Amino acid sequence: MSVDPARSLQEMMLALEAFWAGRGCVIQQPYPSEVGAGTFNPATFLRSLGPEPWRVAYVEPSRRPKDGRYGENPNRFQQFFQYQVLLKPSPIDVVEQYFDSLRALGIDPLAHDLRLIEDDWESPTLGAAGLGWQVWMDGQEISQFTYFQQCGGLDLPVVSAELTYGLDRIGMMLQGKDRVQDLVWAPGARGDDGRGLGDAVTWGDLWVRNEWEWSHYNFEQAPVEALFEMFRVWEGEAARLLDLQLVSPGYDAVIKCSHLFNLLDARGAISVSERVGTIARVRKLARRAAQAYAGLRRELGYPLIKDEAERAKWLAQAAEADDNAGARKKRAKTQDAEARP
Amino acid sequence: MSRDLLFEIGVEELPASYVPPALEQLERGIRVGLDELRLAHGEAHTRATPRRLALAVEGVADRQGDFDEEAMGPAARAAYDAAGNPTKALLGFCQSKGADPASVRRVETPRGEYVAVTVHHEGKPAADVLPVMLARVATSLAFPKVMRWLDDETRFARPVRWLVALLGGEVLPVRAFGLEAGRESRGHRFLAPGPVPLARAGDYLHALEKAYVLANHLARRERIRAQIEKMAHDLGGEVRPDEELLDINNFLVEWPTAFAGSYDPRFHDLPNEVIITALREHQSFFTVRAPGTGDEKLLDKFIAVRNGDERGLDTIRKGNEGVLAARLEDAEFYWQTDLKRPPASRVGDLKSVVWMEGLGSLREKADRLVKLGGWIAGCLAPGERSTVERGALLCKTDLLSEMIGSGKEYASLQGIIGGWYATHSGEPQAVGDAIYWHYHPRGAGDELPKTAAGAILSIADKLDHVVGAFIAGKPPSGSQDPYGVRRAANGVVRILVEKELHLDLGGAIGQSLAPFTSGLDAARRNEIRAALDAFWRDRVRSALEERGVRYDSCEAALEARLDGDRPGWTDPADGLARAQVIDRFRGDERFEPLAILFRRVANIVEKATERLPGRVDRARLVEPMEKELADALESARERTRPLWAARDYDAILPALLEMEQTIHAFFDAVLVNAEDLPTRLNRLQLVSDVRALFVRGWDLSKVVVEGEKGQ
Repeated sequence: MSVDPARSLQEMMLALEAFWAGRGCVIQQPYPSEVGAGTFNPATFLRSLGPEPWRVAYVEPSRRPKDGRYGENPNRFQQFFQYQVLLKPSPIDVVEQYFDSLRALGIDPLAHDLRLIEDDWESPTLGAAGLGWQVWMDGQEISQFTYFQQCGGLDLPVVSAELTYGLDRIGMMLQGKDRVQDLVWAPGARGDDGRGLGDAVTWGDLWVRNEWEWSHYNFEQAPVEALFEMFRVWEGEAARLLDLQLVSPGYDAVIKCSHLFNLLDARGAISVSERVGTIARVRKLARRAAQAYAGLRRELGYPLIKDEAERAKWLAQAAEADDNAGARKKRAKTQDAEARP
Repeated sequence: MSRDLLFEIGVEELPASYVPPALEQLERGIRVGLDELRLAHGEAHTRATPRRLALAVEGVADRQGDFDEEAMGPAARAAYDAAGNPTKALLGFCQSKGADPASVRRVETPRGEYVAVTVHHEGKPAADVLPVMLARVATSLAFPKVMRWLDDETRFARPVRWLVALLGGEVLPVRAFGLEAGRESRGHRFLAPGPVPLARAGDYLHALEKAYVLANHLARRERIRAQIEKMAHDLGGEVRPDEELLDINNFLVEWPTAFAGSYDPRFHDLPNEVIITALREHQSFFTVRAPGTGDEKLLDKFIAVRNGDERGLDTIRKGNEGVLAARLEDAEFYWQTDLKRPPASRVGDLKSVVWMEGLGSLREKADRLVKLGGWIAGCLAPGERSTVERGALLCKTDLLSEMIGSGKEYASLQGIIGGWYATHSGEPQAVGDAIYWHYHPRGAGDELPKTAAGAILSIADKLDHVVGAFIAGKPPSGSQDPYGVRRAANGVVRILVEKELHLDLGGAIGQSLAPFTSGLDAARRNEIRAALDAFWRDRVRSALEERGVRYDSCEAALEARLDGDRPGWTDPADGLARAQVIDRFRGDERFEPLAILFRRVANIVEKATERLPGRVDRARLVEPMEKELADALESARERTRPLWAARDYDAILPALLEMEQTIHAFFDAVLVNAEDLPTRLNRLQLVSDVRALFVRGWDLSKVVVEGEKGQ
């Protein structure tokens, strides 16, 4: 059976995997922790830092506790499926590549209205920001397209392009479904002898009950006091682990903090005035994780840069930046000493 | 000989609002650049789509004009030695200018005798000098936000992907953004994705049109207008006029095709403002109204513009209708949820919302607005007082509503939706209206509040906002105005002027400041008050000047001392009337002599160090001219007394001008600074009284007289 992205969501995923694998991407897997978006996956957040080239694509089931509607709303749910692509450095024809990927999904740009609508993307929790667009198809936002400028509060020496597809939405448009619940996830199959190998399975079959339960949990059952306590614990862990240069476990703790914040927010436990401050606490940790990772990759000698001359160039640049920073510090110290009687 | 110039910056899709300012910069930059390069040229035309910024200049000269530079050298005495031979200084100068020492001339200057040479510069071919200039202009375009896309410091609004630079048929090798310009433009992203080679600069519009790009944005705009108007007419309605929305649509498409769609008429249960916002803010759709009903009656239709041709329009319509339905369902959900919470029940919750950094919550702001609004109502419309106070208490509760708090795309409805919620919860219509209007005017072209209580609440809200920014240490300075304080103040002045409300602005500023001053020492309080006065005075001045009043007429009106010894700027509406009267009487032959004389009068009065007696003692008036002046003053006072109350400045000023002869005669005949102290003080008092009568409307000493030669 050939892949038909208009038939089922999983065939859309297969088509995108094939498309981006063919363009040199590592096909990675979802991150096994609750994330609000594919950007949180270390394959994007950490790998976008520093000068090393990187191309990756993966599906990311993303959690937005606040958006849950008990499985009743045709467009809103607390878990949705993103397809995430990060291309670093951003290729010169990256926009054309993106539209080619839509063609690979069977979308004929001449039969639709496809537009790039300005969008200044920002994740206050991750200290990440970029410029780009929302991609609209027939008035519906189907993707975010961002040229990363900053991540973890660090300016990025090499600009990545991040492409994020809203799989559920695109699927609904391709399959002509008004309700996400009716979306065909798996088309079912028949053997060569015509015997059924499994019936079609819909999004509703897979997730409606899940949405109902999680909505109850997120809005009604999540234990506020315990969540605050967990937030404090993971916040401490993130700091401790990052101090030990255990970057991956440390960053994992940051992700947990972010999700705990989202849960507390959905429970209405975070007042307007606390909100900004709490986000800033997570951002501070994200920043430390970013700094630790950038330092670590440099110590490792930027192993993903295969060209020796290029590698040497970036290492020299980092050393020079260090010298400058060192000199500044030294100057400040001397002035400090001189200022003292 | 001359050829047409074309310069195109090909870019990934720009934000629509970035395009018009960028075009202006591009045009100005290149025109100035051509002039500096001494390249004669004809008219310049900008062209733009989301993917390109271009400038076409007609008839650019093939060569720069030659020109002779007069170069000044060293002083003559440093240029030649005693024997009359050229010194090293002169030879060095000649070498730097490529001139023969024999061609040096001596010239007289105010600083003494110098040497000079005429250096002839021969013009270079335009093609040699244009590339650098074009690259410089392109890379110096400024945008609200810029980004990097290469691993260097190159920045632009979005990545630049190609450059075209042609002088006639010749490619100009402009290097910028890591690219070199060629002759290949690009067509529509999907309808004609290949390169579009241009043989000559003049082929631009035609070649692109064949590639489904209408690059002439003015023509494209009119095409969109014609399409949407026809479509609305065919639907039995009219397009809700919206030039800004037309501009946005125009810079989102290269090949526009309008189409219409519908929504469920059940959404007409929502306020029309909500529907218009849903259509406009997020989807950039045009609203269709029943003809001649204003925004009262909407058809259940919208018109959108796609970037492409007629293909797939049914799919596109269906998709857009689906998105709109989802947005309207959101709005409906917000609306129904919010109606369950009357604004009055949310007042306590205002405590949880921080207003300005460190300045308390919205609950405290509501209390301040009740007091300030009540005070202003007491001055302007005592009958509205309770309406204003009730509105003030409730007016911020909509910030806690789902519509404003959750539905970001409806945030522009703050106040408006609060008014609806208040009325629906059973508050009096007048209270709802006051809330509805209290953010208006939100900008220079916005509507003013339509009710008296709305105007008063708006004034109170903005006064409080301005004071808050000053207290928070964020007053506007230069181009920085983080809290939009100037816009707020301009709104107040506009309301006062256009509604002719005679509020004592100085008193109102004092009232608005009072709640913040408890923790401040006197010096800081006075400092803030002075800064506020200067700020508000400047807003009033700018409002008067925007209405065409001469700056010195404006000063004369603002520096008046109104009844009660208030500065003239504290009544903006009155100030405008007084300033305009000056502009009307400038032609009167008595006017200028009086203005000149008043500077003298002002000087004399201000210089007098002695305490004046307070009133003129008629018995001490001896000279006939001083008696005459006192009589003239008395009669002018009598005649103008009813006129001041009626603010009939067109009658007051001529009545005062009547005194001109008498005042002049007085100064000619009478010595004010008489030796005898009581006489002197009496005369000073008389002069001061004359001035005081004028100053009640105008400080004429601020008027600048044309062609005035000193004093």
